[in-house]
Amino acid sequence: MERKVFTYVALALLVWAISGTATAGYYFTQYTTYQNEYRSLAKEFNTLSEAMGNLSDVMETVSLRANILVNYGNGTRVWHNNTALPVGSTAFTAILAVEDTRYLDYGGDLGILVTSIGGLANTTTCGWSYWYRDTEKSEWVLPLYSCAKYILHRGDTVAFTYQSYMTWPPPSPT
Amino acid sequence: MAIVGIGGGLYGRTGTGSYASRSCLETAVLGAFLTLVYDIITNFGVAISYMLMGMPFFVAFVSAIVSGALFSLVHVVSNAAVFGVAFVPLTNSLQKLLGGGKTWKERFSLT
Repeated sequence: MERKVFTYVALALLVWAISGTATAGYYFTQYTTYQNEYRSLAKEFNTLSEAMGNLSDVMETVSLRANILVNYGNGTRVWHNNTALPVGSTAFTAILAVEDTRYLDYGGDLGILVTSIGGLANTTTCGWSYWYRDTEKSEWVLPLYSCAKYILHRGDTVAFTYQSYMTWPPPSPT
Repeated sequence: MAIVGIGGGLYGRTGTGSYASRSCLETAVLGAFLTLVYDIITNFGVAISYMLMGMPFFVAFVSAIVSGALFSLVHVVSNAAVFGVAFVPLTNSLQKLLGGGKTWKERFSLT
């Protein structure tokens, strides 16, 4: 009787051992497969990161970053800091890039005049004017020419303000 | 499948013809073992197909066993459960159907 019991116990252990070994082998191969896939993905990711880094360097050479302030004259001021723009951008293309802008092109020396920003249009008493920040003198400058003629430099700060024409020169942006 | 039949026949010879709850464990173990043998044989067929593709025998055999391990595990466990649960009620029903109060063993020993 005992021999029969031992036989069945031995059979059960044999089944367990073989099944366990095969299952462990299965999970080991799965582990190896996924580890290899992970390494391959990590390598590709690193390659891609390096390529993106190079691309970022190239982009830095053909673009500039500028800060753009839009002052609606009613207490609402919107800053667009570190806005990336192509080299050669002007104050006009900058505001065109960040806000819903309407304009009139008078051509010639007069050039482009911004007539509306963010739905706020010029009137007979109020209108949009633009400023740039002179970093050396730490003061705002109001150019007397079209914003399409002011070429931006790296790190420039420009402001578009909605102000009354009644006081001239208008107060500088804050 | 013939191996399973032979295994069942050998198991029937060792008993008295009447089966109790202990037989459940015995048949569960036997079922698991025979299922494992069946799986190894069928996986050997897969190994032959690997060998035909140029894989060495041992590698092909281990690959076949390992790749079919999960299915084999489910197969073995489920068959062990089925054998353990169904054996006693099934044999009792068959004995009643075929031999009345007599067991098969008694019946076949008479003839």
